[in-house]
Amino acid sequence: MSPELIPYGVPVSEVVETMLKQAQIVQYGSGMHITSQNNGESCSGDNWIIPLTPRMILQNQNSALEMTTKACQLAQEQGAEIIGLALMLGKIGRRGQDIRQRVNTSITNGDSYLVFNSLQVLTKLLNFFEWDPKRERVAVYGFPSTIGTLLIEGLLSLGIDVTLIAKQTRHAQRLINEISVKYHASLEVAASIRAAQSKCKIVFTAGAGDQVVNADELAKPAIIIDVSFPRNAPINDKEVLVVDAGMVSMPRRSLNISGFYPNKALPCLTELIILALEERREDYSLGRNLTSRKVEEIGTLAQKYGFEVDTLYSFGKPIDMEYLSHFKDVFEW
Amino acid sequence: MALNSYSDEEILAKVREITGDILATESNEISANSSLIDDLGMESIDFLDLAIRLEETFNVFVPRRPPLQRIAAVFGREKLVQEGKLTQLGVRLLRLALPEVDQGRISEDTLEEDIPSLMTPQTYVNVVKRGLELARWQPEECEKCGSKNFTPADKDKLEFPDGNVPPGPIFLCNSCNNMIIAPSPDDELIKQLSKGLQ
Repeated sequence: MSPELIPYGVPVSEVVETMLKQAQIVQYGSGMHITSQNNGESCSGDNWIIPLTPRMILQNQNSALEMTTKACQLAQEQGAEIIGLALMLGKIGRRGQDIRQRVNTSITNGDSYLVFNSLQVLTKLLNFFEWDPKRERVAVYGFPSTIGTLLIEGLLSLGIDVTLIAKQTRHAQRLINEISVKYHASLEVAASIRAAQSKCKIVFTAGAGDQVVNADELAKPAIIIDVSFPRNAPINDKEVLVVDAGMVSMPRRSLNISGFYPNKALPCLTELIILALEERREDYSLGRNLTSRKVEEIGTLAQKYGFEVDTLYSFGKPIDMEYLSHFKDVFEW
Repeated sequence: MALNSYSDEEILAKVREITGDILATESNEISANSSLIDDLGMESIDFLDLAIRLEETFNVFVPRRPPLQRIAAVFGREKLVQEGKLTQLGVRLLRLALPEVDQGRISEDTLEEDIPSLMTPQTYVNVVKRGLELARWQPEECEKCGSKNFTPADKDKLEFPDGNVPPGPIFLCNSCNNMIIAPSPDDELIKQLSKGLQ
Protein backbone atom coordinates (compact mmCIF):
# COMPACT_ATOMS: atom_id res chain seq x y z
CA MET A 1 0.00 0.00 0.00
CA SER A 2 1.32 3.45 -0.89
CA PRO A 3 2.14 5.52 2.22
CA GLU A 4 -0.05 8.24 0.74
CA LEU A 5 -3.10 6.00 0.99
CA ILE A 6 -5.12 4.75 3.89
CA PRO A 7 -7.73 1.97 3.67
CA TYR A 8 -10.59 2.75 1.26
CA GLY A 9 -8.11 4.53 -0.98
CA VAL A 10 -8.58 7.98 0.49
CA PRO A 11 -5.39 10.07 0.43
CA VAL A 12 -4.18 11.07 3.89
CA SER A 13 -4.01 14.70 2.81
CA GLU A 14 -7.75 14.69 2.08
CA VAL A 15 -8.55 13.16 5.48
CA VAL A 16 -6.40 15.77 7.21
CA GLU A 17 -8.01 18.58 5.26
CA THR A 18 -11.51 17.32 6.03
CA MET A 19 -10.62 17.37 9.72
CA LEU A 20 -9.03 20.81 9.45
CA LYS A 21 -12.19 22.20 7.86
CA GLN A 22 -13.92 21.59 11.20
CA ALA A 23 -11.10 23.17 13.22
CA GLN A 24 -10.97 26.67 14.65
CA ILE A 25 -8.25 29.29 14.87
CA VAL A 26 -6.17 28.44 17.93
CA GLN A 27 -4.01 30.58 20.15
CA TYR A 28 -1.21 28.13 20.81
CA GLY A 29 1.14 27.90 23.75
CA SER A 30 1.53 30.11 26.77
CA GLY A 31 3.02 33.15 25.08
CA MET A 32 6.64 33.91 24.40
CA HIS A 33 8.66 36.46 26.36
CA ILE A 34 12.02 37.56 25.04
CA THR A 35 14.67 39.80 26.57
CA SER A 36 17.89 40.67 24.84
CA GLN A 37 20.97 40.10 26.97
CA ASN A 38 22.82 42.60 24.82
CA ASN A 39 20.69 45.67 25.38
CA GLY A 40 17.84 44.64 27.70
CA GLU A 41 15.15 45.24 25.08
CA SER A 42 12.20 42.91 25.48
CA CYS A 43 9.04 41.86 23.75
CA SER A 44 6.32 39.28 24.09
CA GLY A 45 3.96 37.59 21.73
CA ASP A 46 1.66 34.72 20.98
CA ASN A 47 1.38 32.08 18.31
CA TRP A 48 -1.86 31.67 16.43
CA ILE A 49 -2.55 28.62 14.36
CA ILE A 50 -4.79 28.88 11.34
CA PRO A 51 -5.91 25.35 10.42
CA LEU A 52 -5.17 25.42 6.70
CA THR A 53 -2.77 23.49 4.52
CA PRO A 54 -1.01 25.28 1.62
CA ARG A 55 -3.31 23.41 -0.77
CA MET A 56 -6.41 24.60 1.12
CA ILE A 57 -5.09 28.16 1.03
CA LEU A 58 -4.52 28.03 -2.70
CA GLN A 59 -7.87 26.37 -3.38
CA ASN A 60 -9.88 28.86 -1.39
CA GLN A 61 -7.94 32.02 -0.96
CA ASN A 62 -11.00 34.02 0.07
CA SER A 63 -11.64 31.75 3.01
CA ALA A 64 -7.93 31.81 3.94
CA LEU A 65 -7.95 35.61 3.88
CA GLU A 66 -11.04 35.71 6.07
CA MET A 67 -9.59 33.30 8.63
CA THR A 68 -6.27 35.10 8.70
CA THR A 69 -8.00 38.46 9.10
CA LYS A 70 -10.03 37.05 11.99
CA ALA A 71 -6.87 35.72 13.67
CA CYS A 72 -5.16 39.08 13.20
CA GLN A 73 -8.17 40.88 14.67
CA LEU A 74 -8.16 38.56 17.68
CA ALA A 75 -4.44 39.19 18.16
CA GLN A 76 -5.05 42.91 17.80
CA GLU A 77 -7.77 42.78 20.48
CA GLN A 78 -5.20 41.19 22.77
CA GLY A 79 -2.82 44.06 22.19
CA ALA A 80 -0.66 42.89 19.29
CA GLU A 81 1.26 45.82 17.83
CA ILE A 82 2.85 43.94 14.97
CA ILE A 83 1.88 40.67 13.35
CA GLY A 84 3.93 38.21 11.33
CA LEU A 85 2.29 36.21 8.56
CA ALA A 86 3.95 32.84 8.20
CA LEU A 87 4.59 30.74 5.10
CA MET A 88 1.72 30.75 2.58
CA LEU A 89 -0.28 33.25 4.64
CA GLY A 90 2.35 35.84 3.86
CA LYS A 91 2.14 35.08 0.15
CA ILE A 92 -1.59 35.33 -0.52
CA GLY A 93 -3.61 38.52 -0.86
CA ARG A 94 -0.90 40.50 -2.65
CA ARG A 95 1.71 39.11 -0.26
CA GLY A 96 -0.05 40.28 2.90
CA GLN A 97 -1.33 43.65 1.71
CA ASP A 98 -4.99 42.56 1.60
CA ILE A 99 -4.83 41.44 5.23
CA ARG A 100 -3.11 44.69 6.17
CA GLN A 101 -6.00 46.65 4.65
CA ARG A 102 -8.41 44.80 6.91
CA VAL A 103 -6.58 45.19 10.23
CA ASN A 104 -5.19 48.12 12.11
CA THR A 105 -1.88 46.54 13.03
CA SER A 106 1.49 46.50 11.32
CA ILE A 107 2.29 43.34 9.40
CA THR A 108 5.41 41.66 8.10
CA ASN A 109 5.87 38.42 6.21
CA GLY A 110 9.58 37.88 6.82
CA ASP A 111 10.71 37.99 3.20
CA SER A 112 13.52 40.47 3.89
CA TYR A 113 14.95 38.23 6.57
CA LEU A 114 14.49 35.19 4.33
CA VAL A 115 16.77 36.76 1.73
CA PHE A 116 19.32 37.74 4.36
CA ASN A 117 19.27 34.27 5.92
CA SER A 118 19.65 32.63 2.52
CA LEU A 119 22.86 34.58 1.99
CA GLN A 120 24.03 33.61 5.48
CA VAL A 121 23.35 29.95 4.72
CA LEU A 122 25.47 30.25 1.58
CA THR A 123 28.28 31.90 3.53
CA LYS A 124 28.15 29.13 6.12
CA LEU A 125 28.33 26.49 3.42
CA LEU A 126 31.21 28.18 1.62
CA ASN A 127 33.10 28.50 4.91
CA PHE A 128 32.56 24.84 5.69
CA PHE A 129 33.69 23.77 2.25
CA GLU A 130 36.56 26.29 2.37
CA TRP A 131 35.50 27.62 -1.00
CA ASP A 132 36.45 31.22 -1.78
CA PRO A 133 33.29 33.31 -2.37
CA LYS A 134 35.21 35.50 -4.82
CA ARG A 135 35.98 32.46 -6.96
CA GLU A 136 32.61 30.74 -6.73
CA ARG A 137 29.82 31.30 -9.20
CA VAL A 138 26.36 30.62 -7.80
CA ALA A 139 23.23 29.84 -9.81
CA VAL A 140 19.80 31.22 -9.03
CA TYR A 141 16.72 29.41 -10.27
CA GLY A 142 13.40 31.19 -10.23
CA PHE A 143 14.40 34.61 -11.52
CA PRO A 144 12.60 36.99 -11.95
CA SER A 145 10.61 36.23 -8.80
CA THR A 146 10.66 39.03 -6.22
CA ILE A 147 12.75 36.98 -3.79
CA GLY A 148 15.01 35.69 -6.58
CA THR A 149 15.73 39.22 -7.74
CA LEU A 150 16.64 40.41 -4.25
CA LEU A 151 18.79 37.34 -3.75
CA ILE A 152 20.77 38.12 -6.89
CA GLU A 153 21.32 41.68 -5.71
CA GLY A 154 22.51 40.33 -2.36
CA LEU A 155 24.93 37.89 -4.01
CA LEU A 156 26.35 40.57 -6.28
CA SER A 157 26.81 42.94 -3.37
CA LEU A 158 28.86 40.20 -1.67
CA GLY A 159 31.02 40.03 -4.80
CA ILE A 160 29.75 36.59 -5.80
CA ASP A 161 29.26 35.93 -9.51
CA VAL A 162 25.77 34.83 -10.48
CA THR A 163 24.28 32.69 -13.21
CA LEU A 164 20.56 33.09 -13.67
CA ILE A 165 18.50 30.12 -14.68
CA ALA A 166 15.73 31.88 -16.50
CA LYS A 167 13.80 32.25 -19.67
CA GLN A 168 14.91 35.31 -21.64
CA THR A 169 11.60 37.11 -21.33
CA ARG A 170 11.27 40.84 -21.85
CA HIS A 171 10.59 41.34 -18.14
CA ALA A 172 13.61 39.23 -17.17
CA GLN A 173 15.82 41.07 -19.65
CA ARG A 174 14.70 44.43 -18.29
CA LEU A 175 15.57 43.39 -14.75
CA ILE A 176 18.90 41.88 -15.83
CA ASN A 177 19.81 45.17 -17.49
CA GLU A 178 18.84 47.16 -14.39
CA ILE A 179 20.80 44.88 -12.06
CA SER A 180 23.82 44.78 -14.38
CA VAL A 181 24.01 48.57 -14.43
CA LYS A 182 23.43 48.91 -10.68
CA TYR A 183 26.15 46.41 -9.71
CA HIS A 184 28.44 46.79 -12.73
CA ALA A 185 28.06 43.06 -13.12
CA SER A 186 27.85 40.79 -16.10
CA LEU A 187 25.16 38.27 -15.35
CA GLU A 188 25.28 34.95 -17.13
CA VAL A 189 22.02 33.36 -18.12
CA ALA A 190 21.54 29.60 -18.41
CA ALA A 191 18.54 27.87 -19.94
CA SER A 192 18.50 24.99 -17.47
CA ILE A 193 19.80 24.05 -14.06
CA ARG A 194 21.99 21.38 -15.59
CA ALA A 195 23.57 23.96 -17.91
CA ALA A 196 24.22 26.29 -14.96
CA GLN A 197 25.77 23.48 -12.95
CA SER A 198 28.68 23.24 -15.37
CA LYS A 199 30.00 26.40 -13.71
CA CYS A 200 28.13 26.50 -10.40
CA LYS A 201 28.38 24.03 -7.55
CA ILE A 202 25.59 25.68 -5.58
CA VAL A 203 22.11 26.47 -6.87
CA PHE A 204 19.55 28.62 -5.10
CA THR A 205 15.95 27.72 -5.89
CA ALA A 206 13.77 30.79 -5.44
CA GLY A 207 10.90 30.24 -7.81
CA ALA A 208 7.16 30.28 -7.38
CA GLY A 209 5.57 27.37 -5.54
CA ASP A 210 4.64 25.58 -8.74
CA GLN A 211 8.19 25.62 -10.13
CA VAL A 212 9.22 22.24 -8.85
CA VAL A 213 12.72 20.97 -9.63
CA ASN A 214 12.99 17.22 -10.14
CA ALA A 215 16.07 15.17 -9.31
CA ASP A 216 16.50 14.17 -12.95
CA GLU A 217 16.91 17.82 -13.95
CA LEU A 218 20.11 18.00 -11.93
CA ALA A 219 23.67 16.98 -12.61
CA LYS A 220 24.79 15.07 -9.52
CA PRO A 221 26.15 15.60 -7.01
CA ALA A 222 24.22 18.80 -6.48
CA ILE A 223 23.87 21.34 -3.71
CA ILE A 224 20.59 23.22 -3.56
CA ILE A 225 19.69 26.01 -1.17
CA ASP A 226 15.91 26.01 -1.26
CA VAL A 227 14.48 29.45 -0.60
CA SER A 228 10.92 28.80 -1.72
CA PHE A 229 7.75 27.88 0.05
CA PRO A 230 6.18 25.59 -1.04
CA ARG A 231 9.54 24.00 -1.73
CA ASN A 232 10.99 24.11 -5.23
CA ALA A 233 13.27 21.17 -4.50
CA PRO A 234 11.45 18.45 -2.55
CA ILE A 235 14.17 16.01 -3.59
CA ASN A 236 15.03 12.89 -1.66
CA ASP A 237 18.30 11.75 -3.23
CA LYS A 238 21.56 10.99 -1.45
CA GLU A 239 23.52 12.78 -4.14
CA VAL A 240 21.50 15.96 -3.79
CA LEU A 241 22.05 18.11 -0.71
CA VAL A 242 19.00 20.30 -0.14
CA VAL A 243 19.70 23.00 2.44
CA ASP A 244 16.83 24.97 3.97
CA ALA A 245 17.31 28.70 3.42
CA GLY A 246 14.58 29.68 5.81
CA MET A 247 15.37 27.91 9.05
CA VAL A 248 16.83 29.88 11.94
CA SER A 249 18.05 28.61 15.31
CA MET A 250 16.76 30.66 18.22
CA PRO A 251 19.80 32.38 19.77
CA ARG A 252 19.49 31.28 23.36
CA ARG A 253 22.90 32.68 24.27
CA SER A 254 21.91 36.24 23.51
CA LEU A 255 18.18 36.13 24.19
CA ASN A 256 16.40 35.08 27.34
CA ILE A 257 13.31 33.32 26.11
CA SER A 258 10.51 31.97 28.24
CA GLY A 259 7.08 30.58 27.59
CA PHE A 260 6.32 28.59 24.51
CA TYR A 261 8.90 28.96 21.80
CA PRO A 262 10.32 26.81 19.05
CA ASN A 263 14.00 25.81 18.99
CA LYS A 264 14.16 26.87 15.41
CA ALA A 265 12.11 29.54 13.77
CA LEU A 266 11.03 30.52 10.30
CA PRO A 267 12.08 33.88 8.84
CA CYS A 268 8.67 35.46 9.47
CA LEU A 269 8.93 34.79 13.21
CA THR A 270 12.56 35.85 13.32
CA GLU A 271 11.88 39.11 11.51
CA LEU A 272 8.87 39.72 13.76
CA ILE A 273 10.93 39.21 16.94
CA ILE A 274 13.68 41.52 15.69
CA LEU A 275 11.20 44.27 14.78
CA ALA A 276 9.38 43.89 18.11
CA LEU A 277 12.65 44.10 20.06
CA GLU A 278 13.50 47.22 18.08
CA GLU A 279 10.02 48.62 18.77
CA ARG A 280 9.58 48.98 15.03
CA ARG A 281 5.81 48.68 14.62
CA GLU A 282 5.80 49.02 10.87
CA ASP A 283 4.84 47.10 7.75
CA TYR A 284 8.33 45.85 7.01
CA SER A 285 8.16 43.06 4.43
CA LEU A 286 4.82 43.38 2.75
CA GLY A 287 3.69 43.15 -0.83
CA ARG A 288 6.31 43.61 -3.50
CA ASN A 289 7.84 46.49 -1.63
CA LEU A 290 11.05 44.66 -0.73
CA THR A 291 14.40 46.36 -1.11
CA SER A 292 18.02 45.35 -0.72
CA ARG A 293 18.30 48.16 1.83
CA LYS A 294 15.75 46.40 4.04
CA VAL A 295 17.56 43.08 3.59
CA GLU A 296 20.79 44.69 4.78
CA GLU A 297 19.05 46.47 7.64
CA ILE A 298 17.25 43.41 8.98
CA GLY A 299 20.54 41.51 8.70
CA THR A 300 22.33 44.12 10.79
CA LEU A 301 19.55 44.05 13.38
CA ALA A 302 19.55 40.25 13.40
CA GLN A 303 23.22 40.19 14.26
CA LYS A 304 22.61 42.73 17.01
CA TYR A 305 20.29 40.25 18.71
CA GLY A 306 22.43 37.20 18.04
CA PHE A 307 20.49 35.59 15.20
CA GLU A 308 22.99 33.71 13.09
CA VAL A 309 23.20 30.56 11.07
CA ASP A 310 24.86 28.19 13.53
CA THR A 311 23.20 25.06 12.15
CA LEU A 312 22.36 24.09 8.61
CA TYR A 313 19.05 22.32 8.14
CA SER A 314 17.65 20.07 5.47
CA PHE A 315 13.90 19.50 5.46
CA GLY A 316 13.81 20.94 9.00
CA LYS A 317 16.45 18.58 10.40
CA PRO A 318 20.04 19.53 11.26
CA ILE A 319 22.47 18.37 8.60
CA ASP A 320 24.98 15.81 9.72
CA MET A 321 28.55 17.14 9.35
CA GLU A 322 29.73 13.83 7.97
CA TYR A 323 27.14 14.03 5.24
CA LEU A 324 28.21 17.59 4.49
CA SER A 325 31.86 16.50 4.33
CA HIS A 326 30.89 13.86 1.79
CA PHE A 327 29.77 16.60 -0.59
CA LYS A 328 33.00 18.53 -0.02
CA ASP A 329 35.00 15.43 -0.88
CA VAL A 330 32.94 14.63 -3.94
CA PHE A 331 33.24 18.13 -5.36
CA GLU A 332 36.93 18.45 -4.60
CA TRP A 333 37.63 15.09 -6.16
CA MET B 1 -24.60 51.04 -15.89
CA ALA B 2 -26.92 48.05 -15.82
CA LEU B 3 -26.08 45.19 -13.50
CA ASN B 4 -23.73 42.73 -15.17
CA SER B 5 -23.43 44.99 -18.18
CA TYR B 6 -19.92 46.12 -18.94
CA SER B 7 -18.33 47.00 -22.23
CA ASP B 8 -15.11 45.26 -23.26
CA GLU B 9 -13.26 48.55 -22.71
CA GLU B 10 -14.60 48.87 -19.18
CA ILE B 11 -13.59 45.33 -18.34
CA LEU B 12 -10.13 45.81 -19.86
CA ALA B 13 -9.64 49.05 -17.92
CA LYS B 14 -10.43 47.22 -14.67
CA VAL B 15 -8.19 44.27 -15.55
CA ARG B 16 -5.32 46.67 -16.26
CA GLU B 17 -5.98 48.60 -13.06
CA ILE B 18 -6.07 45.46 -10.91
CA THR B 19 -3.02 43.95 -12.64
CA GLY B 20 -1.14 47.20 -12.10
CA ASP B 21 -2.11 47.20 -8.45
CA ILE B 22 -0.94 43.60 -7.96
CA LEU B 23 2.35 44.15 -9.75
CA ALA B 24 2.91 47.66 -8.40
CA THR B 25 3.09 48.89 -12.00
CA GLU B 26 1.35 51.83 -13.67
CA SER B 27 -1.70 50.54 -15.55
CA ASN B 28 -0.73 52.59 -18.62
CA GLU B 29 2.30 50.29 -18.97
CA ILE B 30 -0.06 47.34 -19.37
CA SER B 31 -1.61 46.72 -22.76
CA ALA B 32 -4.36 44.29 -23.65
CA ASN B 33 -1.85 41.96 -25.25
CA SER B 34 1.04 42.22 -22.80
CA SER B 35 2.13 38.78 -21.67
CA LEU B 36 1.35 38.77 -17.96
CA ILE B 37 4.45 36.68 -17.29
CA ASP B 38 6.97 37.56 -19.96
CA ASP B 39 6.28 41.30 -20.18
CA LEU B 40 4.99 42.10 -16.72
CA GLY B 41 6.67 39.53 -14.48
CA MET B 42 3.54 38.09 -12.94
CA GLU B 43 4.14 35.09 -10.66
CA SER B 44 1.79 32.18 -10.12
CA ILE B 45 0.59 33.47 -6.76
CA ASP B 46 -0.29 36.78 -8.45
CA PHE B 47 -2.71 34.97 -10.77
CA LEU B 48 -4.71 33.97 -7.71
CA ASP B 49 -4.84 37.58 -6.57
CA LEU B 50 -5.99 38.63 -10.02
CA ALA B 51 -8.76 36.02 -10.01
CA ILE B 52 -10.01 37.08 -6.59
CA ARG B 53 -9.93 40.78 -7.35
CA LEU B 54 -11.83 40.26 -10.60
CA GLU B 55 -14.42 38.16 -8.80
CA GLU B 56 -14.93 40.90 -6.22
CA THR B 57 -15.11 43.61 -8.87
CA PHE B 58 -17.48 41.92 -11.30
CA ASN B 59 -19.24 39.50 -8.96
CA VAL B 60 -18.40 36.61 -11.26
CA PHE B 61 -16.52 33.34 -10.88
CA VAL B 62 -12.99 33.30 -12.28
CA PRO B 63 -11.48 29.83 -12.74
CA ARG B 64 -8.22 29.32 -10.87
CA ARG B 65 -6.71 26.62 -13.04
CA PRO B 66 -4.87 27.62 -16.21
CA PRO B 67 -6.61 26.70 -19.51
CA LEU B 68 -4.46 23.68 -20.31
CA GLN B 69 -5.15 22.08 -16.93
CA ARG B 70 -8.87 22.70 -17.33
CA ILE B 71 -8.90 21.10 -20.75
CA ALA B 72 -6.65 18.25 -19.63
CA ALA B 73 -9.09 17.39 -16.84
CA VAL B 74 -11.58 16.33 -19.52
CA PHE B 75 -9.53 15.24 -22.52
CA GLY B 76 -6.61 13.73 -20.60
CA ARG B 77 -3.20 15.36 -20.34
CA GLU B 78 -1.48 12.65 -22.41
CA LYS B 79 -3.66 13.54 -25.38
CA LEU B 80 -2.71 17.21 -25.18
CA VAL B 81 0.96 17.08 -24.26
CA GLN B 82 3.67 14.65 -25.25
CA GLU B 83 7.34 14.99 -24.39
CA GLY B 84 6.66 18.44 -23.00
CA LYS B 85 5.14 19.79 -26.23
CA LEU B 86 1.59 20.26 -27.42
CA THR B 87 0.06 17.57 -29.59
CA GLN B 88 -2.05 18.36 -32.64
CA LEU B 89 -5.19 18.04 -30.52
CA GLY B 90 -3.59 20.15 -27.79
CA VAL B 91 -2.90 22.89 -30.33
CA ARG B 92 -6.46 22.86 -31.65
CA LEU B 93 -8.04 22.92 -28.20
CA LEU B 94 -5.76 25.57 -26.79
CA ARG B 95 -6.32 27.80 -29.81
CA LEU B 96 -10.07 27.48 -29.22
CA ALA B 97 -9.68 28.17 -25.51
CA LEU B 98 -7.46 31.21 -26.05
CA PRO B 99 -8.90 32.95 -29.13
CA GLU B 100 -7.36 36.27 -28.07
CA VAL B 101 -3.82 34.91 -28.34
CA ASP B 102 -1.89 35.24 -31.61
CA GLN B 103 -2.77 31.77 -32.91
CA GLY B 104 0.66 31.39 -34.46
CA ARG B 105 2.13 31.27 -30.95
CA ILE B 106 0.27 28.05 -30.24
CA SER B 107 1.86 25.27 -32.26
CA GLU B 108 3.22 21.78 -31.91
CA ASP B 109 6.54 23.40 -30.98
CA THR B 110 4.96 25.18 -28.01
CA LEU B 111 6.41 23.89 -24.77
CA GLU B 112 3.96 23.08 -21.99
CA GLU B 113 5.93 25.27 -19.58
CA ASP B 114 5.52 28.25 -21.92
CA ILE B 115 1.73 28.09 -22.05
CA PRO B 116 1.11 30.28 -18.98
CA SER B 117 3.13 33.00 -20.75
CA LEU B 118 0.40 33.20 -23.38
CA MET B 119 -2.00 34.72 -20.86
CA THR B 120 -2.66 38.43 -21.34
CA PRO B 121 -5.05 41.00 -19.81
CA GLN B 122 -7.30 40.27 -22.80
CA THR B 123 -7.43 36.61 -21.69
CA TYR B 124 -8.92 37.81 -18.43
CA VAL B 125 -11.31 40.16 -20.21
CA ASN B 126 -12.69 37.08 -21.95
CA VAL B 127 -12.77 35.15 -18.68
CA VAL B 128 -14.79 37.95 -17.06
CA LYS B 129 -17.14 38.12 -20.05
CA ARG B 130 -17.79 34.39 -19.79
CA GLY B 131 -18.31 34.84 -16.04
CA LEU B 132 -20.85 37.59 -16.66
CA GLU B 133 -22.68 35.38 -19.14
CA LEU B 134 -22.73 32.61 -16.59
CA ALA B 135 -24.10 34.97 -13.94
CA ARG B 136 -26.99 35.82 -16.28
CA TRP B 137 -27.78 32.14 -16.96
CA GLN B 138 -31.37 30.99 -16.54
CA PRO B 139 -32.76 27.48 -17.05
CA GLU B 140 -35.14 26.83 -19.92
CA GLU B 141 -37.17 24.24 -18.09
CA CYS B 142 -36.97 21.96 -15.11
CA GLU B 143 -35.30 18.76 -16.26
CA LYS B 144 -37.36 16.82 -13.70
CA CYS B 145 -40.93 18.05 -14.25
CA GLY B 146 -40.67 20.27 -17.32
CA SER B 147 -41.99 23.36 -15.53
CA LYS B 148 -40.83 26.76 -16.78
CA ASN B 149 -41.36 28.59 -13.50
CA PHE B 150 -38.31 29.10 -11.30
CA THR B 151 -37.14 31.18 -8.38
CA PRO B 152 -33.48 32.17 -7.95
CA ALA B 153 -32.13 30.36 -4.89
CA ASP B 154 -30.07 31.95 -2.12
CA LYS B 155 -26.86 29.90 -2.14
CA ASP B 156 -26.13 30.75 1.48
CA LYS B 157 -29.30 28.96 2.55
CA LEU B 158 -28.54 25.79 0.61
CA GLU B 159 -26.36 22.93 1.73
CA PHE B 160 -23.99 21.12 -0.59
CA PRO B 161 -22.79 17.66 0.37
CA ASP B 162 -19.10 18.23 -0.43
CA GLY B 163 -19.13 21.85 0.77
CA ASN B 164 -18.26 23.11 -2.71
CA VAL B 165 -20.74 25.78 -3.70
CA PRO B 166 -21.32 25.84 -7.48
CA PRO B 167 -19.99 29.09 -9.00
CA GLY B 168 -23.01 29.84 -11.20
CA PRO B 169 -26.58 30.76 -10.30
CA ILE B 170 -28.97 28.22 -8.82
CA PHE B 171 -32.73 28.12 -9.29
CA LEU B 172 -35.49 26.22 -7.54
CA CYS B 173 -38.34 24.84 -9.60
CA ASN B 174 -41.61 26.35 -8.40
CA SER B 175 -43.47 23.13 -9.17
CA CYS B 176 -41.28 20.33 -7.85
CA ASN B 177 -38.66 22.27 -5.83
CA ASN B 178 -35.90 20.66 -7.92
CA MET B 179 -32.57 22.45 -7.64
CA ILE B 180 -31.32 23.56 -11.04
CA ILE B 181 -27.64 24.46 -11.14
CA ALA B 182 -26.03 26.52 -13.90
CA PRO B 183 -23.34 24.72 -15.90
CA SER B 184 -19.89 25.25 -14.44
CA PRO B 185 -17.32 27.38 -16.31
CA ASP B 186 -15.46 24.14 -17.08
CA ASP B 187 -18.64 22.62 -18.57
CA GLU B 188 -19.07 25.72 -20.69
CA LEU B 189 -15.46 25.62 -21.82
CA ILE B 190 -15.76 21.99 -22.84
CA LYS B 191 -18.99 22.75 -24.69
CA GLN B 192 -17.25 25.59 -26.50
CA LEU B 193 -14.27 23.40 -27.39
CA SER B 194 -16.38 20.45 -28.51
CA LYS B 195 -18.38 22.77 -30.77
CA GLY B 196 -15.15 24.18 -32.17
CA LEU B 197 -13.77 20.73 -32.90
CA GLN B 198 -16.76 19.73 -35.01
